[in-house]
Amino acid sequence: MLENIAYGFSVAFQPANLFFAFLGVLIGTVAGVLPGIGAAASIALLLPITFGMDPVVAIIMVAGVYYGSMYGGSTTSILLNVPGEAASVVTALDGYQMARKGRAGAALGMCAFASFIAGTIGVVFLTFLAPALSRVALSFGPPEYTVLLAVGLLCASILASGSRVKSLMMVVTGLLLGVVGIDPITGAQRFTFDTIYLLDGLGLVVVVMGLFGISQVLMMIDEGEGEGGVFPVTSRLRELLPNREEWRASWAPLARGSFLGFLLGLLPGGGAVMASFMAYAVEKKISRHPERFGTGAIEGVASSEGANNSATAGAMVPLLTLGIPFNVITGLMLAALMIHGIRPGPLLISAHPEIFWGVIASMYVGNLMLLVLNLPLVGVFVQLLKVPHRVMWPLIVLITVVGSYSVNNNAWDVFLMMAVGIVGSSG
Amino acid sequence: MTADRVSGWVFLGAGLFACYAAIDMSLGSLQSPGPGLYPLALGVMLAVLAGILLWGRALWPGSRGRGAVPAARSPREKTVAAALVTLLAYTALLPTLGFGASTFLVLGVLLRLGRMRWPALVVLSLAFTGVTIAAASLVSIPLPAGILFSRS
Repeated sequence: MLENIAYGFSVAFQPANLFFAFLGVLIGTVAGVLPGIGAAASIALLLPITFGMDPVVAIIMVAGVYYGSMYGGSTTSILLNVPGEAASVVTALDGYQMARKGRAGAALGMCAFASFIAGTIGVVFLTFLAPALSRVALSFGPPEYTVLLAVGLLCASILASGSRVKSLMMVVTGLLLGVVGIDPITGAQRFTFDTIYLLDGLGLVVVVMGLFGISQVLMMIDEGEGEGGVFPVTSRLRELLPNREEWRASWAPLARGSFLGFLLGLLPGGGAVMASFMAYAVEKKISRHPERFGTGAIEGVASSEGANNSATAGAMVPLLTLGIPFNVITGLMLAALMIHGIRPGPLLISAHPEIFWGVIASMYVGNLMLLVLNLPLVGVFVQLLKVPHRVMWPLIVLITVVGSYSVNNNAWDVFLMMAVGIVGSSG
Repeated sequence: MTADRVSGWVFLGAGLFACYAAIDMSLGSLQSPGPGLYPLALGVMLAVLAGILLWGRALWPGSRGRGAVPAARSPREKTVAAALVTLLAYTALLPTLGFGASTFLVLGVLLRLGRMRWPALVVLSLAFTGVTIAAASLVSIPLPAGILFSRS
């Protein structure tokens, strides 16, 4: 095991891998800070760029965007009560209240430290659990995979917020969209309407960019300028470090959140959003003063941030060992690997140890980079929030149009992305 | 009509269409499925779920759930509608006018929808378009030249 970890670090410490890990966490952090441009949209936009990269470099960068976005998402939650990421919604509950009480620095500092500690704990679990899980996975055949996928899809619909019927409808709609194109077994055309554009099916990247990018633009236009940017932030950043009392209140919730987050990240349909909600709910349930939650309790920030960061490492286990993505982002990471002809699964460790161990080692390094990056740069990221929505939405349109066009150099993909985005925003 | 009812009718239609199209393909059998069997199963599931969304509360009046939410009218719905038309027009203009001209126009309209003043609007549209074209050429993305401007 130690030999493998050492090999992973030898891969991660190669200059190109270090650079792209840094680039990934930087892009992820910015994506997390900017409301609307989440990790999924960022990875979707980056996918075409990874075509020409070495697969190890590509996956290290994409993984960096994933866990980097969890760091960045909390910044706007705390300062503006605008979650940069869905997984940062819970952080806003107490983080924003802390900011209103003049403890924005402590909340931001706690987020950075909690993210680092939980991220590292998650990667330690990943290091030691993933090989064992992959051995179990080797005994999986088509029936087991089918059941696993069915359970994952059902769990995703059951655990989703809102109406269960609508969630199931979306699952079935997604499966139906996946049918478009040539049937891989019989070669027959399905739902292609005799057009060559649909023979290859609907591109995942194009659909994701429409659902996340274009629908977000339409929602931003619908909401108008909102109240973003009115909260005074500059004078609150002097104290970045939580005090001793706050640390004492936070360490246990952080540890519990990290553990729970990793476990929920492992589950189909789980992931960072659910993990942060669950961890917060657990802390509130076992706290001697549950009435403090929602009024600026730092343990609420620590638990939710710990959970959402640890969940990203948990979500990597089924991707790397089973080859099954349990959420959109790991689905995109699967796409990034498959572009290079690499199919993650039980044989990944033996067939491509440089990818498996290199990615894991890069996550240790990336978490450290994020801590160094986030603590001093919080003030800089806040400045990005001053970009008005009316400038932001044309920018997002531009990025998504170029991104979708570049997949196949085809204007049809742009139309498809727009159509999916419009339908997605009306849901 | 509530938002749920609109969604219900749309997805019921989609489900029934999937069933109709799937029946046209070979269905095969459960042991040896044809290309139409899986889409047919999905179409039936979608139609049933849409039916539950439409008539579930009537069939199970005691069931829990939120009350019918009327389709909300946004105060900015005209702006959203204008943005929708602009985005769809963009997809039509892109192959004809090419990336540069169509993007400049569309960005201008979108910025105008955000009530940006004309001079700033023109400068920003030009800047965004120019930077994107430069960046795309750097990473060798051949953006559409447009029928009107193509050399052939």
